[in-house]
Amino acid sequence: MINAAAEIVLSFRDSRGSVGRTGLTCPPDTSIDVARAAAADAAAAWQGASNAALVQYSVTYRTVVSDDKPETVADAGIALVLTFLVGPETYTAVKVYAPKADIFDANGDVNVSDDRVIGLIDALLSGAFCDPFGNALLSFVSAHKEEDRGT
Amino acid sequence: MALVNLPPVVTFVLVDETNSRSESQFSILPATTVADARTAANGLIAEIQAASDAAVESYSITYSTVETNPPAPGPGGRVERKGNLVFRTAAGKINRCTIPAVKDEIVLSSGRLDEDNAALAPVVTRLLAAPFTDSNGADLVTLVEAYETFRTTTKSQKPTDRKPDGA
Repeated sequence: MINAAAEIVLSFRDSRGSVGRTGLTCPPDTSIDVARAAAADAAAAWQGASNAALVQYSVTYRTVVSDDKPETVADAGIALVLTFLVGPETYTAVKVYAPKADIFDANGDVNVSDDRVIGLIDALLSGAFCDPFGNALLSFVSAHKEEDRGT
Repeated sequence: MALVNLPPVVTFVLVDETNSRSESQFSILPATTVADARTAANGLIAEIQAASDAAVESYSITYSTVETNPPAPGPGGRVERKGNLVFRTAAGKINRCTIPAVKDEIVLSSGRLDEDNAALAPVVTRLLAAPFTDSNGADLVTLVEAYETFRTTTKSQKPTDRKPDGA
């Protein structure tokens, strides 16, 4: 695996509502605290030089895993959707694309006893993952198959 | 300013045999360090690979911070009007970054940016210091060019009331 340079993107909105962005880079081992502080400093400096208003900045760390294409037929338009409980009557869903066909039974339902599905669920319930609002994943609720429209 | 950190997002890029790509996104706890986020992401790769016929090509971890009380943009500013700053890196290569809606006062009559201008100088100083580098990790050493350009207005950036009365 190769860790690429960390990218900081500053987003600005002008008086017409249009958004412009600028990208900066830092070494891949820059901690998030240092990167955020640098981004905040840069944003303040940019704000002094720009007639647009800062609306957001982000720090992205990218890791290249593999450049090998799979040799088996796969369809990135089909997804395995796993739903988790995150709070009282509150749920979140995650998707894994091109799931292996034998994860589903003859009716297209997910076999939740499959070791691969269990492995995914266990990894997501390991304590590191949450919903987009920061609520930890509490328990697995259900799984189903979804097909995205192709582009 | 009122900056709010959003929960970080891990995005896996999966590629199938036809070179089509999809992205799977997972949110991680807000206080997670980059090292711990990478560990969690690496741990999920094997599980995704076991369940998917697509190959995990890469993943990215994005920490976003939103300004919930942005200042009013300056009147007449347009993000298509860019200030370009070109730096020479320690490796002898060129690195460029931009300032959207660059202020009038910074732009000289020739279109060059005045690097001594009080509004521009802090930007240059900031970029020449850690932790900023080029995409290969080389330090930015010297400002070699500074000038104004205009980017084409996209369809979505056209004013919504652009049609004359009665049209």
